Amino acid sequence: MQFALLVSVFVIASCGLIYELVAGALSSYLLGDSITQFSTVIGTYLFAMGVGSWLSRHIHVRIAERFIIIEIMVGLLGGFSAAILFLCFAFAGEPFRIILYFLVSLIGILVGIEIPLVMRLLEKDLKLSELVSSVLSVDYLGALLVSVLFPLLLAPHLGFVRTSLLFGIFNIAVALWAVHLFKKTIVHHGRYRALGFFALLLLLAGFIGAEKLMRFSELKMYGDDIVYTQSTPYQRIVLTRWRDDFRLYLNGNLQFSSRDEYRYHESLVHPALATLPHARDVLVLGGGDGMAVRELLKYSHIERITLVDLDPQMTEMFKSDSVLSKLNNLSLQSPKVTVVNADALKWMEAQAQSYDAIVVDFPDPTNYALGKLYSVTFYQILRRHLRPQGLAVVQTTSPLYAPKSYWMVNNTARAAGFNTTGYHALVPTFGEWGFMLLSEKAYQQPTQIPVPTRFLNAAILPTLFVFPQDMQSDIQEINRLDNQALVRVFEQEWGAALR
Amino acid sequence: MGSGAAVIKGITRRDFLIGSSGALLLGCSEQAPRLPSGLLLGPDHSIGHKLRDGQFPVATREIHTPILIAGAGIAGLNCGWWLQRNGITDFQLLELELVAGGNTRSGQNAVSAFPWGAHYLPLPGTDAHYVRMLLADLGALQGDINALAPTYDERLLVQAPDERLFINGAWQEGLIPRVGIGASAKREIQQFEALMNEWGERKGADGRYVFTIPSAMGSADPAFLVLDKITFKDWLQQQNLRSDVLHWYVSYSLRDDFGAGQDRVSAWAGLHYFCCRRGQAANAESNSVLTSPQGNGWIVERLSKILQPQLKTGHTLVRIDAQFNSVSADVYDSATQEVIRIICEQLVWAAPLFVLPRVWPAMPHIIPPDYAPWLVANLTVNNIEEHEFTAWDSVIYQGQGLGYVDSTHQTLQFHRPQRVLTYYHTLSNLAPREARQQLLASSHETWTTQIFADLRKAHPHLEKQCSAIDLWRWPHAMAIPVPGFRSSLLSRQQTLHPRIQVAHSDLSGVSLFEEAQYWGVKAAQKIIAT
Ligand SMILES: Cc1cc2nc3c(=O)[nH]c(=O)nc-3n(C[C@H](O)[C@H](O)[C@H](O)COP(=O)(O)OP(=O)(O)OC[C@H]3O[C@@H](n4cnc5c(N)ncnc54)[C@H](O)[C@@H]3O)c2cc1C
Repeated sequence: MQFALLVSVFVIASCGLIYELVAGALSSYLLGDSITQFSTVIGTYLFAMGVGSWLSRHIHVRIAERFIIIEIMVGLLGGFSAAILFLCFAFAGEPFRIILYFLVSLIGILVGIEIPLVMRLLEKDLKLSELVSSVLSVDYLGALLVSVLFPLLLAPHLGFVRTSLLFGIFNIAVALWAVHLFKKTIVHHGRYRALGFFALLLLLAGFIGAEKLMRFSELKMYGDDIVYTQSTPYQRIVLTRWRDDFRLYLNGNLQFSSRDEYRYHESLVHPALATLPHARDVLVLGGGDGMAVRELLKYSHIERITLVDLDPQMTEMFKSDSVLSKLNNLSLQSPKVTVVNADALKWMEAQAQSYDAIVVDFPDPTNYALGKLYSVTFYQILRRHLRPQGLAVVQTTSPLYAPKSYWMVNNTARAAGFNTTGYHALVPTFGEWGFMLLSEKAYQQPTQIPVPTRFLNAAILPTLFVFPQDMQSDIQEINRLDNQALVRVFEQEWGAALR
Repeated sequence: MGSGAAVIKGITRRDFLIGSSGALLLGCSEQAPRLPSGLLLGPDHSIGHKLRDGQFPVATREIHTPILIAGAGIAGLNCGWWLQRNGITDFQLLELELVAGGNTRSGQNAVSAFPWGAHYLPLPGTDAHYVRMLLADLGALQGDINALAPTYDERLLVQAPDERLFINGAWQEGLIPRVGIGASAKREIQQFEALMNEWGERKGADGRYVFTIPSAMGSADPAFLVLDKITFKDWLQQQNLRSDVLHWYVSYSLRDDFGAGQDRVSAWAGLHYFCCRRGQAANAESNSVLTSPQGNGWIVERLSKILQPQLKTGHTLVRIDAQFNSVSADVYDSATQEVIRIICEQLVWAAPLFVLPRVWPAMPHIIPPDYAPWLVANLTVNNIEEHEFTAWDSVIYQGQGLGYVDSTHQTLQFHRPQRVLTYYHTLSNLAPREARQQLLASSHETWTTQIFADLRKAHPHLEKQCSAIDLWRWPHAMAIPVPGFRSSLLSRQQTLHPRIQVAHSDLSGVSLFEEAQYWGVKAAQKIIAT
């Protein structure tokens, strides 16, 4: 009996610590700033345990039964804690913190009650000094074990959700064991056993269904109704709709909102094209949604538009789907447009055609693969495809949130021999957004925008070229393939901006 | 790739996580492995055996050529390059295998080109003059070849991130252990780095660097020969450097270059490894290297093209008879299975030294090196997540093997869901003979199981992602510079016969591109001088 209870203490202690670690790790993972998350979670948890210990004095009778109930509660709450937290985060957002600390407090209180209860169960068999010393040492031993196992084995192999479910199962096992040990003294021990098995079943189901649960919550994270999802070999495409607002997400990252995408795409295309009245051939890299092409088609002198996008399903969707093709005004169905599904840089290297204008609409440099598309090598290859009088324009992340990144792109394009001219525009869903014009000769701003627009006009155009102080940076670095400096700086800047 | 613009446009931290949350929150489940199949390859051993046993038919006809080079590895190819560069085109370059390259050969499958051997060339310093000339000829080095820091073709400079180490359950940047190691290990690593910097600056009485590459350009000062009397391990211990972490790092480095660790390698060679490089680039960090999907194979391909008129693959030199005014060389043609006698004025032996006595029974005695056997595996891996495989070279701390390079790393392709990982393993835990036996006796399955066991720590799912493993066994991969090797070099570098030159990295006792190339050029220069 005594041994059995000490083993229980060991398991309980491990479980308690796991829930605390999972909550700390999960919240730092989701919210960032791990120091704050860990210390507030641990603080709350320890305090709650204190509250629990204090509360335990109010339990006088039927200690074994109370212990079993509490054990089952800890098992369920703790076991599902990671799943609950993640679902909350996906559904709700801000109340997340409230739920986090509530859950941590609740588990802390319950765990705080547990240990004193075990001590009282053991009271009859042991001297006080012995009791305290063995219970506490086993308690700390359990803590040591999981604090080592968690980062090395559990988190990487099981993940947060399944780790906490697993330890929930351990808690229930202890409860069931206790039912067995005390079956003589517990009146309705059958009921307790049934309850324990029910909880066990729930946790097991959770453990098995964890993957489905995650997928479900992922979808809910987008908030609005999902009208379209597609997993292609290249990305996960999700289109959501809320009233008249369509939003496109690629791999979970917002690409546009139909409410203000015109601001983005007009800014991307017209400062260049308004100065190229003789442009015939235009190349678009990225931009498989056809929005940039829609703006380009407003210039009747453009004869051929080549759109290079990696993902055939993406371009096909925006060409043929009735809802999506309406967003780009059927641009991809125009006979002037040729869609090429290829890896942009590889494709450019392999062919010799040159263009009057090139619109570069790649994702931001969030990883090393994308970083290559902002390297000196890339701009050198781009330059080979641009006619001497031509202009290229590159979307270049936000000069407000990521000024160093923005100006590093500028340095890099210059290192490839380009003249560069930067400008920026406000796109409410994104914030202040940056663009860069690349050319052989100095760029001249147009005096008018010769095509119909909703946002850009001759009066505001010059203001886009003015960079306030907070969008400046004196960074000197160049993004080369061998240093991938941009990805590092970009990560720093956005990491800070997203906190 | 995608449409619209930025991945991060208008993002909240919440959005940011959607794409990546699954793995961390769910972890990964393990499943019973299914071993992928593949090829079990190696140098042509039927010819190797025949060479050892001398079972070749007699020559059926005789032809004449002024210069004959046997072996189209780095040394032989560069010998030919230098001759051509100096206007000499009347020579033949023979290669036993069906392709040139020797230890620098490479392969290609549907996913990528990949190395079977040498995978990188560090930036050459000014002592590696011929390497710079070659790179300039190949268009890889631009501008002044004598500049301290010339400009290199950005496509060949290794892309970032270049190296990473899996230690204490996570990847760190760079191969020197830094994360989660004790204070004393940290201190010793610092001491070691300081010592190596100091030795890197050291010059002999003749004003030359003690350690440089090619090593023949280094100081001849005999004062440093004491370093060749002890192992590098003993030397480290003399410096009071005993940390396991440091010793692991040193062992990894030496096995990677010499096929044996500090317990076998001479202190001179150990110091040479850490102190010989001073190359810089105007457009890269000074510790950068030149590489391509096929490793150093790009150089072999380019040189093979230049030397196409002279290169004869599938031709093995099987017998040498050296006379006063000519050399008679019997050459076995694998395609026709006949032997031709080639009478030449000059013969360059650009093949490993241990083979030479088998084809030239009358040769003066020289001491050949010990050779370390190696295994190279090319793993075709699918469904790769970008963030999983970021670096060019990935090493596992205290791993069995030497880690792997991602052969697709140097491509400009954005989307690389399939990769070829080139895994290196030196059988340094056994004596060379036994190791060679083990290398050849073990089955494809045995090796595959061992490779996955080694990589599992860092890549628990690799077995499921891997669709093929092709293996190349190198029984005599490279010379091991054991203590005393510097003194045996004298016998190897002597002139064996006025009409026979030896050109091979074995002459340096360390198997590196710069060394092989140096001896190839030197042999050509001697021929030009006669
Ligand atoms: C797995 C591995 C990885 C390596 N990695 C690197 C690296 O990253 N960087 C580096 O600098 N070095 C590396 N090396 C060292 C490499 O050995 C040298 O770079 C270089 O390739 C040696 O060239 P070599 O010409 O001296 O010799 P070899 O490559 O041995 O060339 C000799 C040639 O002679 C041929 N031959 C043999 N006998 C005959 C005959 N009788 N007739 C005709 N031809 C014959 C052989 O087939 C072979 O092609 C590596 C070696 C191995 C094995």
